[in-house]
Amino acid sequence: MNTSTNSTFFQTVIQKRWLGKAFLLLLTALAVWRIATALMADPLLFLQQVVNGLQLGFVYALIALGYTMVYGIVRLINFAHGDVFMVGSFVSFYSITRFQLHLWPTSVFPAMSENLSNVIGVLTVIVVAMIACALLAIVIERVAYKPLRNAPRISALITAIGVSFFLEYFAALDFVFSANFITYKRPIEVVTWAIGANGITQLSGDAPPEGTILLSNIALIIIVTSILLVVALQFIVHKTRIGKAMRTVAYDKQTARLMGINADAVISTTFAIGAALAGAAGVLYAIAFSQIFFVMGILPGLKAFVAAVLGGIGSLPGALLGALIMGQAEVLSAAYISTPLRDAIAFSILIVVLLVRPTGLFGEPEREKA
Amino acid sequence: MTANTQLSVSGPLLKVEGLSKNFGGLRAVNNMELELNPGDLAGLIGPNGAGKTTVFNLITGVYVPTSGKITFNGQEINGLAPHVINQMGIARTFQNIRLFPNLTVLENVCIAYHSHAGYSMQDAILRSRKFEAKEKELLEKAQDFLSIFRLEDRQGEIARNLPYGEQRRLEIARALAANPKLLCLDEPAAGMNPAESVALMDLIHFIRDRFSLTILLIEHQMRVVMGVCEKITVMDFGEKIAYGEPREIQSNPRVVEAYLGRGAAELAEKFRRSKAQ
Amino acid sequence: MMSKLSKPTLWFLGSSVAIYVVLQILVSTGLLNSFWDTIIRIGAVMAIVSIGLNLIYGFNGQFSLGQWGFYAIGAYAAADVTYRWTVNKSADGLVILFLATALSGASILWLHQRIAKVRGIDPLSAFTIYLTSTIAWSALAFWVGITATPAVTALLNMLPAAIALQIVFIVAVLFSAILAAEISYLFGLPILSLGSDYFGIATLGFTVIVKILLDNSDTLLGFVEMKGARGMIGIPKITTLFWVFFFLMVVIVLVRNLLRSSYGRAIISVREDEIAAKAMGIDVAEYKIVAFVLGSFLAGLAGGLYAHINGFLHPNTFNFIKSFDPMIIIVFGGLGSITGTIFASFAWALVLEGILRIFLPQGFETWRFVVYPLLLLVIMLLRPKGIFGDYEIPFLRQVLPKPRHPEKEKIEAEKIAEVQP
Repeated sequence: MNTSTNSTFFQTVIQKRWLGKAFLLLLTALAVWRIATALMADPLLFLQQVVNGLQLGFVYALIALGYTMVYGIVRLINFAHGDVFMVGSFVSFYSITRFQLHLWPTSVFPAMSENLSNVIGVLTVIVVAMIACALLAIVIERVAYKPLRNAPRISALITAIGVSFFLEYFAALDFVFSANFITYKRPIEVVTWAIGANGITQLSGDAPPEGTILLSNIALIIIVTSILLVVALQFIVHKTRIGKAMRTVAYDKQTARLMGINADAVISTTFAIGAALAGAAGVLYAIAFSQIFFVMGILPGLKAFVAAVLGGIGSLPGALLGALIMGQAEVLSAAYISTPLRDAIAFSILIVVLLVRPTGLFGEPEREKA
Repeated sequence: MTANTQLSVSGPLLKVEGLSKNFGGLRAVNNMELELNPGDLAGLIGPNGAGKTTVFNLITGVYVPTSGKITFNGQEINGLAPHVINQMGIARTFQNIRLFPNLTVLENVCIAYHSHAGYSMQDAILRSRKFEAKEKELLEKAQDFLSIFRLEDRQGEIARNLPYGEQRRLEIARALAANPKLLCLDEPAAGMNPAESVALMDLIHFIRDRFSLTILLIEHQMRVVMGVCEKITVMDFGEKIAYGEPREIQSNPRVVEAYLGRGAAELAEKFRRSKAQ
Repeated sequence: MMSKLSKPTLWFLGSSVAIYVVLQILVSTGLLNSFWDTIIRIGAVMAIVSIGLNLIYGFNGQFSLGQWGFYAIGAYAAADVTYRWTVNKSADGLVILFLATALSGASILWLHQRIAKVRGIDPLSAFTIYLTSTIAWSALAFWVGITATPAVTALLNMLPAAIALQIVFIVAVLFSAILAAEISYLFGLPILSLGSDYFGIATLGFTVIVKILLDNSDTLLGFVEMKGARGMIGIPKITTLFWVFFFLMVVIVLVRNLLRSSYGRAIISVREDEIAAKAMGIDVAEYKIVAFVLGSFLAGLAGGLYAHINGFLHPNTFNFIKSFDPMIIIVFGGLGSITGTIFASFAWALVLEGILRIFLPQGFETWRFVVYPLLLLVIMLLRPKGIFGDYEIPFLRQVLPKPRHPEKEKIEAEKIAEVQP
């Protein structure tokens, strides 16, 4: 190669990977431009979308945490996880319609204030769903995944797919949940506040006033519950013995066993905790969107999985951040780019992230020793 | 097997200068220097974690150096892809044997011939006459090669079913099938008993002579190192701490210290001095 | 081409032709009704897709969930071309598809030669170059195609209608397969370097994106005739039993020829141990792409054939859930076994789509989706290597040459020379 200035420039372009970076920069610039114009055109609408995105993001976060925990500990992409989310919704549906579970504080403690009994009622419904999902996950793990722990990974993956199908279509059977869309009866009334420069007013069926952002109690419940659960999870993982055991088994199962940790119990516990979070997410999602059906877990499950990968699979804070980003991206693209394409955009984000930083935001590169 | 092709330049076959490799904050290799002349049978020793395999990985292109230069046969090879470096004439074996476990013994060796298979993918898919001829030639070459290592009767065995010693032999045979100028052996005697180690030493001498090779060897079994290597480089903490012939190395106090610690080094020194009196 | 045909080859060709002839007779005389005829053709199409996936995953070791996306692309592209020919009476789809894929393909091959020589170019930059080139050439092809269409339409109209249709059909199917291959090349270039798990996830994303785009094909992509989420109808039903068997045979023979050669060994070595393969001079990145592109070509080919079986296409056929079908088929049949894949594909079609549909009483149709995963679970637990494991019929097997003992013979010769003065 001659030593003219042309070829050295060319060499620099190659070495510094400018072409690829330019391409990604172009994509990012387009996205930023779109967001900036949207923000400037109607800041309140934009903020509204941000709030909606936060609400969705937290629901995804609860599912994503389960994915990332299970992957961290047994390197399995648990495709059935989204369906556990679905089971959570349905369990809560039955608690509410069949057993009126959300009304128990009112009947047992009639003197209690309405707000407090509502809150306790909703929490009970959520907790019951969480427990049901945790138990389901333990059963699935013992029956389907544990026997294949030493089999090639593809077998466990196919089994996870099989479990997912099984849960979906079992739920679709008529005597279980049926294949229809079911309207979900909310355990509490929806109350919407309009927050604006003139203060906070409660909406009562009229059109919302100009210049306000709408915030519903549903959104508040979702955000607060999610934050509480995430904090609780952080506490469990970092401040308890079981959490330490979980981290140890995730790091090196063999050695953990040699140090006296019952790896099987720890793995089951991890599945259970992940499922409990997904179950809670299912209840919150049903409350927010008020409609449940037997395959409702597929897309949120996928998106939550993408979120976990985005954040760095195996990393808990990564799953949370990834999910918030995914929720935000979904809502913003639906509003400003194209509603039907919002899912396609979500997955495109995945591919772009994988190109830029394959191990995700908080992931660590795994290197194979030669 | 024909003798390997001409060397392009006179002078050292392999020259490593100022080679360093960082993994995050850890400096695994620090300013490493190494020189090999054609036909050398050299050893690279040092305590565990000294960075020996990392040096191998740097030479063979598995890792990209953080700084420094590796010159092979007159050409700079740092930063090249491993398969390119192999095609230029460096072959290696691995600490934990890396055969193609589900392929037969013959297939394992055949893969070494892929870059000079002599036919294109279209030839293979359409089964052209060129394919039939060249493939037959390739298979025969592979079989002949196996017979040099007395593995021809095992040609149809699945590699992972071979006993350990034969797996080692196959791995070395496979590396040599690519007709390299430099062969890097990473702990070839690992897991072998004394009898097997002696057979290995004979094998190493045999291949160096038969194939006119240069060999660089990482090894922990001192019997093998001292019995085979003509020149030895000693590493510790990623650096070269000694270089010389086996006898010089054996009595070098820095080497003893690296392996056994300072107390032992002093003891050894004392013992050597008392013996000399 | 083949100097002499060996016994396994003769057996294979003979029995395949015999099976085809028998089936064709049964179908033509009406002994096998059209329902079973369709099932068999779907089985053959699934076999092609699954062989493609087996090439990518079973033989090359890359876990891809993108096969279904390429199947969809092949199906819709081919369907659109033949639809425009039969319904719109225009060869515009044919001409544009042909020109776009031919020009882009040529540019990709040309660039590949040049780029391979450049040391140290990273996958993402290479991708940008290829993408820009492809877009440019496709735009040119579109412009030229529009101009050339009337001439080509007139030319084809000079032939008898049936023959013209067959020509359009074959060109459409082949070139939508090439289209799928080109897209897989562009997509695979940056993604294959990521390593197995992330590659699987990215291909999953690809399949989902394709399905969403198909749902919006009439609105966002402008293909009104595809009717988006309502499904495309009016596709000529010209995938006959003959065509599926023909293509299946060709695919089996060509894939077998590839796998039983040095290139096949290179592809398999990537699955076995990437680091060892690299150390032996195999360009691992290159062979991952080769396997991926070939496998995607097969998926596109199968898609094109599929579209013309029932005459209609619906995006739901290509959703994420169904995308696991070929994966399940190849694992079920045995990952390293083409024989297993073929068997499992037909078994899947016959049992799942055929038998269960008939024998399960109405209203309990959803039960098969409960039975199906339970069956899967049982197989995974009892026989994780798949039904056929590594087994292949003799034609497809790797042939070991007769052992040679040149060293021994040399020693024997020397001994004899010593003894006989």
